[in-house]
Amino acid sequence: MLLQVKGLEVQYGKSRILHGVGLELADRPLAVVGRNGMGKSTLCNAIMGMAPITGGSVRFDDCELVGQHSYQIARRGVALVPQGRRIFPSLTVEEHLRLVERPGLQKWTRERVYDEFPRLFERRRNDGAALSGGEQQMLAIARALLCNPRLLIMDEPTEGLAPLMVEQIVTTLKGMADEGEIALLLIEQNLGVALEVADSVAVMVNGRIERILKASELAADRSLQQRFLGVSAGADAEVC
Amino acid sequence: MKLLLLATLNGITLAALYFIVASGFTLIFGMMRVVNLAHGSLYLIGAYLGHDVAALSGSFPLALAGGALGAALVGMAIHYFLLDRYQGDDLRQALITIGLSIIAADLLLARYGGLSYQFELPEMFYGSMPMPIVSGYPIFRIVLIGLAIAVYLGLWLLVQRTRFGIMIRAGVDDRHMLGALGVNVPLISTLVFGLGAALVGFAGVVGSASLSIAPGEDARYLLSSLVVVIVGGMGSLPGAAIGALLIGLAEQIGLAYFPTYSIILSFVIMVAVLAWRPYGLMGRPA
Repeated sequence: MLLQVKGLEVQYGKSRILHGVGLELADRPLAVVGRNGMGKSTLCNAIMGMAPITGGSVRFDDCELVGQHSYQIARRGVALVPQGRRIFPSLTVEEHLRLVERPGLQKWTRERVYDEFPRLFERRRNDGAALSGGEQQMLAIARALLCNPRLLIMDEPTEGLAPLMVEQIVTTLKGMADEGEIALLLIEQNLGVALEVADSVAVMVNGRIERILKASELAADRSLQQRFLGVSAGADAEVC
Repeated sequence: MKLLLLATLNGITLAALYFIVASGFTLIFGMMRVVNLAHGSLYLIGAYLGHDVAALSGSFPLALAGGALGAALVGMAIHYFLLDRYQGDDLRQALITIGLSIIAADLLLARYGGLSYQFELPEMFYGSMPMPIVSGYPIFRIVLIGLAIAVYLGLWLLVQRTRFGIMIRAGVDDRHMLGALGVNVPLISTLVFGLGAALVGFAGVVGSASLSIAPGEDARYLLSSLVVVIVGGMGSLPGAAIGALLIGLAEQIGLAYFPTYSIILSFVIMVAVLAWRPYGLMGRPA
């Protein structure tokens, strides 16, 4: 098991966000879905060492991550594409990539990233603040890939993007999943994207994982979708 | 005419010194957002250490290196052991560093006494350079202006062109995200703090060689750095240069023409700038 989360609790001040989250992830992509405010992003930040953890454990490759600095977690091979992308506004595209590029023989290099995302090459001299939402998302993914992670956590990568852009991101993600180089933990509000990319889906409700099921199972069952996610007709259309 | 030119030259020299001091301050406070009210103490520590090294070795370059290195080590220790754990907690950092500056001032007074010290400068810096109108100007003051320009160019290259500089700028934008990319942010902050402390220690040696060292200088240089950085804009290198020039010239020209009121001139400038551009001349909202 690459990632094993058990009884994870996170508390900000007096408000408790995660009440004992448990999930496991091997090499096939896992999606976490749920409504707003259920603690999905907090789960990402907690794994990455960016949230105040009050209990439980996160084991990655048989090593405890709770209590480590986020830079140590990143160096063990976990990378995060955060919600809202969090591009550095005063760095150019090229500088973002220089920042995380590791010397030596690596699977992901600046050249390979530019091959994968030609648009970033065109924009390499622009500041992060000058990029469109889609370009920022590409840059956030490229930045994470250059860390050469074994586990990539993506927090709502399609949020606020145009449908065409969403499709491109989905293609990239599916490609990565099929290559099997990088394990994927995908947080999504867009059920269509989650079901297309991931094999299994964890449903999060009120800071707990309510249920983990096969993607095909959730896709087929409207009443489950309705119960856990309150999916409307509009979102249904995206599933097809 | 002679008076005006002389006051201007003195103003630029003083600005050069203010700039080196404030460049360290703008790195630490403006960029890394670490409140350091012991900046003046680091100046004084650099100056006294430089004086000791010069007295022992008789070498001015060694004195410069000693002052910078000593201040850098003290600064990094302060940051690593006391300040980094309270990052973002401005008031606590302010209290800690005010306390440290009081302790440092007393320790230095006990060790070096209350008399002012003067440096023995190397041969080549003695004497004056021929100039029109004012007939001659001390060579060392010209050297000081050159040093300030070198510091400016060096820092600009470091921040804009190197990977370390990229890390500094990224850390200013989003410290936590930088950590999530595998960068050891506490280490980078301590190194940047050390660099800022090295600059002010260096300035301490240079400043005491062209003026003198005495107790109380710490508060003076802390105040001037604050004014320069506030006028120029937090975290902006060109801002620190412009701010230093404005304040240096204002002090010297004020001293030459209306000595009684010259002390308030810098603060008048500060108030005017803050009314017109609340983030400083080159600053931008944080």
